Amino acid sequence: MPFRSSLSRRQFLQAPAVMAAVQAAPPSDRIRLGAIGQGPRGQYVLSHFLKEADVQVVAVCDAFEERRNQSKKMVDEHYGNSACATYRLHEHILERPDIDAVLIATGDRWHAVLSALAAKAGKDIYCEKPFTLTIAEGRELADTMRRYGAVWQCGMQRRSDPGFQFVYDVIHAGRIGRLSAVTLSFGEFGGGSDGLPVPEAVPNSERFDYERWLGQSPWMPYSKLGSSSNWRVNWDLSGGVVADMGPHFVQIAQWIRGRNSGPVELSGDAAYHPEDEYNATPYFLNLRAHYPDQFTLVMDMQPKAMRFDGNRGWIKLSDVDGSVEMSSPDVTRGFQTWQGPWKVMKPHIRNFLDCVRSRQEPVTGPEVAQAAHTIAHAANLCLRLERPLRWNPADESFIGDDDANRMRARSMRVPWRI
Amino acid sequence: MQIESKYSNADLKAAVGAVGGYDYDRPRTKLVALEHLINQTYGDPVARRQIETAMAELLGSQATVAAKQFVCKKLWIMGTDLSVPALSKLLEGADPVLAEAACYALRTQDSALAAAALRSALDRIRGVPRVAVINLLGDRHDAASTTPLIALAAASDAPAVEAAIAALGKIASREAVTALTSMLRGPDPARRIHSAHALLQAGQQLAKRGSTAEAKAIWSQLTGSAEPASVRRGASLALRG
Repeated sequence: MPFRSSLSRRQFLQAPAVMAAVQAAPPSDRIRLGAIGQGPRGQYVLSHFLKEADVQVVAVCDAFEERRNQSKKMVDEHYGNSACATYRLHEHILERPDIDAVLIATGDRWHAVLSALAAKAGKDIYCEKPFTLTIAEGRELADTMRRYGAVWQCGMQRRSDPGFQFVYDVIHAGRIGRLSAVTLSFGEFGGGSDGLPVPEAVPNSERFDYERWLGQSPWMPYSKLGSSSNWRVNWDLSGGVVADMGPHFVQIAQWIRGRNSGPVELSGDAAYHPEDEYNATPYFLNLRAHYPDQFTLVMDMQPKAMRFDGNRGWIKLSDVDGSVEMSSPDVTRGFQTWQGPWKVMKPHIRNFLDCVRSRQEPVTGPEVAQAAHTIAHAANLCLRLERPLRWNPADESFIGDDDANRMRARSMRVPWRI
Repeated sequence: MQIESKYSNADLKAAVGAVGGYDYDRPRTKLVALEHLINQTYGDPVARRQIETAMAELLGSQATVAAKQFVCKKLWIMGTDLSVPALSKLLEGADPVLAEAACYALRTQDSALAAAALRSALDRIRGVPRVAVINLLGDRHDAASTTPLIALAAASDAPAVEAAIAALGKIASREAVTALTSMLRGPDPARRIHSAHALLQAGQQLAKRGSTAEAKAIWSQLTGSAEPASVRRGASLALRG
């Protein structure tokens, strides 16, 4: 009996900050934004920033000429002018004193480095997840944000989504009893072999700046395949589906549990495509993370969803269409249903913009994001090392496994560092 | 007592040797096999030593750059002093890709020999590899490299200067803070800006170590109007606790 709830969405839309945002802000009072990384995801998130009346998007940046031109077109059409600047190099955005904040929606390898550079330049930051490639990088980034007093929001928008708020409310009303397990299903992950990356001549940097695109990751020769969307399965550039979806769902589980602490033991299995160089992350996995209070986090590849099991029932939220299933109608009885859109961006972006003004910590600030990302990274290391790992969330280290501890940090290609 | 391994040295050597011809456009089946073997030999020091010996030999051989780069990624996980000499040669060799691969391998190798190899390379290498080593010494909070880093911060190679100043901020030794403070008050505008950011980081490092008074002394130097706005804001927030 799938259905949706509208209760939480109304609460969000009636919040004072959101109400204020629908009124046009004078240009002098707008938050001036630059967008770095304008692939499909970056353009999607930017389109939602454009809807905020107190934001003025003034510049876009991408290693791909085609992408930065597409973004400029979108921005200029929105404002009815041709004022949006385009840059190949992020330095041009960061050095502009008139820019208050940046949207970072590059490939994963750039998120932490650019966040640190932006904070150093005095900008506030909305940064897509996963915000790190490694556990140590996340710690460095969180320290950097604290050091500069930057407002930093991780693009874990599910945390502000009415659908997940609805599940939070149901569980906190005690409808499924004591929460004993959460299953994070990542859905079918492409990850198939698309062939071998044949090195090709590096394109003209104005058309596609490959060196910039590669960023901190170990050098590899240019190939069209390697720099296509397939980069997410390359361990050097990303962390596969676990790092992609894991932080979203782990954060929701931690939020609902009311604590950021991690599991003490992880174990599981994964399958990899062995023939493809660009496929060093699993396409299939099943992992369990056991917490000291008998709580279990499960990661699998069932259709994209989160299922919450308690000692009196369960509730499951589809991450495909927002539909809800439950063990019995009693689980959600009395909660109003909602017919609104699924996967809303506005509340999360609004939270960031409000925090830029108030200098408060956004809902998925650095420590919240780090607490979620460390579990995703720990899960990835467990699968990659093919053995159970024991994790100490207090000092973000593994207990009794030297290999895993060493995999917490990587060096970066010059000139990038945090 | 001699600990036995269930793996034969010949098999382990063959598994490492099999990746020597790997290139970026080839199937990575043999790489996956070696990685699996490395995983399986966790807790087997004899087998690990034999694998590492073979990998160190491969680094000195005519194997492809791609193969050596892959081996460095494995040494990142399991390397010991055994492979430090081979990695040192890569650091000081002509190929910047392999020099950075060596840094990747040494990133988490905490031994004194590995640290000494990095410090020693500072004098003998230039350009990108030297900046990579400087960054690495900073990431490792290697206090013993303070003196050579101070010298590099005073030199004329701009990328090395910037990297050295940043590394000194991470290391935050007493001598590093003194040198950074001196550059903050010095005549060179670029060094002043780099030092302001580095001192902000040094303050954070010292506070983490419990040296609150020293941290506050640093932050209080950074709130003046001459400092970058982001540094002023950070220092002011830090002083307010």
